[in-house]
Formats: sequence, structure tokens, C-alpha cells
Amino acid sequence: MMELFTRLFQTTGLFHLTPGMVIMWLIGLTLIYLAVKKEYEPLLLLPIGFGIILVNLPFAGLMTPEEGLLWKFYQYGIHWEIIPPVIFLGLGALTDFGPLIANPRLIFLGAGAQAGVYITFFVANAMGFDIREAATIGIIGGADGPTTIFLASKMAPQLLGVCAVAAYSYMALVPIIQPPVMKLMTTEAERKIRMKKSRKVKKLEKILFPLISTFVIILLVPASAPLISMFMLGNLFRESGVVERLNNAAQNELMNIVTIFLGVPVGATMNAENFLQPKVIFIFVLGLFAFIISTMTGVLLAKLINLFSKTKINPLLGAAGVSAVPMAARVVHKVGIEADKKNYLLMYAMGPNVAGVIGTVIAAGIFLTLLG
Amino acid sequence: MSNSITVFISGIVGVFFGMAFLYISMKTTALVIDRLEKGKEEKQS
Repeated sequence: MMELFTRLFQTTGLFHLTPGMVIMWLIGLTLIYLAVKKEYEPLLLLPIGFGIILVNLPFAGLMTPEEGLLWKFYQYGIHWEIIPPVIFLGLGALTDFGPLIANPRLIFLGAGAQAGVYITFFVANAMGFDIREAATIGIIGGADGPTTIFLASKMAPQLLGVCAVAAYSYMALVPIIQPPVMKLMTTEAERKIRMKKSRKVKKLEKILFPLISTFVIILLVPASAPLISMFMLGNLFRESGVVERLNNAAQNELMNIVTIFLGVPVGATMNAENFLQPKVIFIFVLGLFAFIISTMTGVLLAKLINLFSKTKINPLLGAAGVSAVPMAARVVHKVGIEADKKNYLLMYAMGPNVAGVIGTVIAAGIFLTLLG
Repeated sequence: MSNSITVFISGIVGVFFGMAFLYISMKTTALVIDRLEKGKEEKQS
């Protein structure tokens, strides 16, 4: 009787529980807490947190290759490059490129912030991460969750979960991370610079922008095609004004559905063996470093442009060159308002903010071309 | 290390190059649309 009971106990998950699994539950629960209580990127951190708990339940087998439910979500959704591009379709449908088209030179601020990606890549590689892992860590500085997941799935799948959590966590912390850096890099007088009133953008320009961008970017960096093509298609849905149903579906139902199937398997890549390693701490530190450097390089580039330009740019706009849309633009606006109550920077900051998305996709495409 | 320097430099140059192309295409598009509209207005008047 006792032997039978022992044998029965040995078949339960409880018998195979390890301290690492319990630690991972706590990490998963922390992410769920941050999502529910603090509303830090809840759309992603909540399913990721739940995915972490699921994969660390012994014998659940949800990530067993070929069989597990979450493995199938991961394999066919992320590894097959379906979900991140579909998210980009929705993002494109949500994006207004008007502020960027009205001030085309702000596109360079989106490029400036990508310097942080490459500096972090270089530092990570120098610290001992292999070159493909370093690229995945560097892209966290782009502050773009789907691009980070897309690149990680191809370059360093073992880091996918931790890089995604780092990217989304820091994106949620943009209002805390960026303002001190922005203030450190600018003078009070610079923060008070008022932007020249934007011109009105014609509808035809808005329709042509996604088409021309698709040609330009894919011809230059073909590896960025999966993300940029869907991003621009979504934007064409929006701007054409003739496919309202598709536009609504892309930015609402479709995006919501794929977000569910993105978050849970991303969390499920984080089992205790993979996650509880010293290098994870380095990845989080480097992710933060990437965010800070991207903010700095964006601001510095704006100041550099001001040296050669008659019409000055408020250098705070450079900080919006990281992709976190629209959070980074809102932060720029808030810091600008603190210096001058009548300086409304939000619409101007949306220009480099959406340029940052394009910049991060190009940066990821270049990594794939050179290291893929 | 030398490989990472190559990626570092070509990455930064590549992103700026891509953005410069987009900048030129945005400027050109705006210019062409303006010209076309002015041409239309002149014809009408």
C-alpha cells in the first residue's frame, strides 16, 4: 500500500519540483503583478508571466518538441516568422507618418538612436557574449519588442525570453529611464527651443510614403523585408482610406489575437535551466545600458544637426528616436513642458518616434545580413 | 573582435544610409507633388 502511494507520488509534478522552478514561478508572478498592479506593458508582460509559470510546471510538457501546445505556438508563430510581422501589420495600421513627412529631417534622429544598438552590441561582444547573442542584446536598445523577438528567434533563440522581457520591461520604464538622461544631455535653453510650425501633409504623400519606403528599405536591406513589408502594408491600409475593414481588423482583432499567441510562448522559452544563469543579469544590465546610450546618441545627433542648421531642432526630440511608440514621444513632451509650459513637442516627437521603428527594423536587417 | 568592429561600423553606416535614402525620397515626393499641383493650378487659371 505504502509502495503504491510512493509510486503514485513519484508520478506527480510535486516530486520533480526543483528550487529553480519555484524561483521561476516567482519571476512569472512578479511579471503578472507588474502588469496587473502597475500596468507595465500588461498586454505582453501578463501572458509572458503566465507562460513562464506554465513551462516551469514539471511534466506539463507544454514545450516538448513536436508535441507541446506552447511549442507549437512557438514553432509556427515565432520560429516561422509569422507573429512578429503580423504585429507589425497592426502597428503600421496604427501609425501616422504625418509628423515625419512634415519634418523629414527628423528621420535622422530615428537613425541616431540606433547607434545605441550597435554600441551595446560591441560592448556585449567584448564582454564575452558570442557575436549573434551580442546582436540580440544590442537590439533591446531599439526599444521595439516585436523586432527584438524577431531577431532573437533567428540569432539566439536561447535568449529570446530574457531579451523580450528586458525590452518590454524597459519600454514600460521609459518615463523613468529617459528624463534624467535627457536633462543631463541638454541645457535649459536647449529644452526651451520651439519647433517651427509643421506644414500640412497631403493625403497623396501619406499614401505614397509606405509604398516608397517599402521599395527603398527592402532594396537596401532585403533581410528587413518580413517586418517592413507588413508595417508598410498596414500603413497603406490606414492611409488609403478604402479598406477600412482591413485597417480596423489589422489594428484591433488581428493584433490582439497574435499578441496572445506571442506572449505565452515567449514566456515559455524561459525554463529554469535557461534563465537562472549569471549571464541573464548581464543581459538586463546591458539592455538598460542600450536604452540609455540610444537616448544619449539621439539627443547628441539633434545637437549636431543644430550646429549646421539655421532652423533649430529641440534636442529633446532625439530621445524619441528609440522606438517605444508613443511612450518616448510623450516623455519628450513632458520634459519639454517642464522647461517651457507652452512648448508642445508631442506632435514633433512622433516624427523621430516612428522613424525609430523603421531604424530598428533596418538595424535588425543589417544584423541578419551580416551575421544571419 | 575585428568581425564585431566590421558589424559595428557597417551597422551604423547602413542605418544612416537607409534613412538618408528615405529622407531624399520624402523630399522628392513632396517636391514632385507640389510641382504637379502648381501645374494644375496654372492650367486652371
